[in-house]
Amino acid sequence: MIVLGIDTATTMVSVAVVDGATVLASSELRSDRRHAEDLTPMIDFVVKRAGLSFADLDAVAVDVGPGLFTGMRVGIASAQALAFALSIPLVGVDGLEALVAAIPVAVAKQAEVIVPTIDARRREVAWAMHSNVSGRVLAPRVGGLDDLLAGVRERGQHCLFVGDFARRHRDDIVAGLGPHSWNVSFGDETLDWPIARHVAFIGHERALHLDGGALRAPRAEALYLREADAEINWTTRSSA
Amino acid sequence: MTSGSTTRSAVASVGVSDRNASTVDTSTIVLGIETSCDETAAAVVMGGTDVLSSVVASQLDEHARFGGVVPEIASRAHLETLPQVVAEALERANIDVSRVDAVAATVGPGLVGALLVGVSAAKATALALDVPFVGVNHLEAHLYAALLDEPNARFPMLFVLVSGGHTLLVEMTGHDSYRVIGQTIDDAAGEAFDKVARFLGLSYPGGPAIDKAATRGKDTAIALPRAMLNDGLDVSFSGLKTAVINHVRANPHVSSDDVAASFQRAVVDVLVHKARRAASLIGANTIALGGGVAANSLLRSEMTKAGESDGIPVVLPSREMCTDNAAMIASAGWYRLRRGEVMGLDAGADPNLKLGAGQR
Ligand SMILES: [Zn+2]
Repeated sequence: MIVLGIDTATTMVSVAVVDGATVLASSELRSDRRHAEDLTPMIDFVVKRAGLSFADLDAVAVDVGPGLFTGMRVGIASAQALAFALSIPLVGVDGLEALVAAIPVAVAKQAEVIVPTIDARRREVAWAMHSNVSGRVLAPRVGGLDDLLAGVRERGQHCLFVGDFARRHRDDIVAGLGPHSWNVSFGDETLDWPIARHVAFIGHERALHLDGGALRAPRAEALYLREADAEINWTTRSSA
Repeated sequence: MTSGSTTRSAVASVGVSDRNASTVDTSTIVLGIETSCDETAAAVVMGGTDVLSSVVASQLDEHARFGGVVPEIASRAHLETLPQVVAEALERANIDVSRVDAVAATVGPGLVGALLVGVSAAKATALALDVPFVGVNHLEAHLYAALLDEPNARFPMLFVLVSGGHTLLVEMTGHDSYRVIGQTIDDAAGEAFDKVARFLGLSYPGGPAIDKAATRGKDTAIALPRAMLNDGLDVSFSGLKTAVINHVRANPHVSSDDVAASFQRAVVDVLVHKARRAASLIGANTIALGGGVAANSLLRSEMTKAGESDGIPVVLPSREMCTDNAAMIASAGWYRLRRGEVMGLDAGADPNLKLGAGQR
């Protein structure tokens, strides 16, 4: 099964075509607010360099966030349109999950829980918690660093942080966890951002279990984790 | 080409298609997508003017309680709604997506986050189908809404674009030739309607609310200014809006129907007066109206009357084609496609795109 993976939810734009566990072609670049300009030509390039035509694709997978709102929408809108035009299934993949999937098995084994992090701007972080044994134990959420530290302390297990937010705030995290900090490790820069190949792998796994083909109007729900700005203001105003 | 603007377009790579221009004809099917503001729209148009379907999903209810369009809410709604809207447009046109010959989308002006949803979807669709992507200027598309019913209207044409965001008098000497010859120096006409409606406590959006209230009021009840009437082709509505507010504050018991009627009459007087001046200046053979305010009853009837007395045919879009829709995008896209003006897959959105920009 050939799956096209798309990731535009962070400052990295990436596209991959995978066949099962094999990457046929992939591309990634750092894009500063040029996600829409960069993505479509990259899809064109990757599919063609994989030696395929668009008719060969069996499914599309896209990172639905958390991350940059405008960026994730570019990826989702493109993926929705591709799935529709090609009449193939669409799979939405949580970017934190894609980050976890990128961790080499040997590295993952050294920790009991894994905390993927993505910068949510406004001094906040989007994060989740995965256990090596039982899979995801805390669903994606957004909050301050203190919320994240409280969640990790509560768990009290050997914890591996991945994602560019954790790496940049490494000192704060170590200091914030205090006496427990000996229990903490950090992923390297290769695990800073979710990447399309892992989105495609996860999408591949899920697409295998989908019954039937494409929907009438394929959709993937964005994972914003925050209400739209004006709504937050409105709620504040009406409760004041 | 002529252009009333010196702003360089940020939209990438306008080029000549390798597609043979002669293959663009009356059977060419364009899928149009519009997401520049608060309407999510898709349409299928054949041969530039044959509207096979036009689907518009309005976000009005989601923005109404804020009294205006909230950009983040608009972007989210476009992303959620667009797949169904596109599917429905193709179903109503009774064609399979594989029969689409080109995909056109609004690349500007508008809200950047909202535009990017439509542009991304349109480019991806074009890529998957291996057909051209055509970037369309939203303002230009409003003109093609008027031409849908009158494709043979004669040039030179005076195009009066009046909407919530724009008030423009445009000289059009051909399909690829625009020049802005007059515009508002402050509020857009639709903006003035919205602001006055809000001040009078009428519902949002203000245009239809004032149109309705005005039918119950007397348009000579209140003396209001007509700014810059005999001064060039630019217009100004800010002073009028202030005069309305001052009058109501000084006369709190005034009938808001009378205020609405007097205000609407003043706006229409100014627009019709300037349009006649502009039309005679450029020797117009046609006056065409476009934009949300072109749905206003008084403006439609007064402009038609003025055209009759000046001997210039006035072209009015149907009311549903005045407000934002994708049929006008697909139509404008067909004319661009016919001229070979397609865009590369590296196209983006330009929130400040000017009329005439990005043309060869
Ligand atoms: Zn418009």
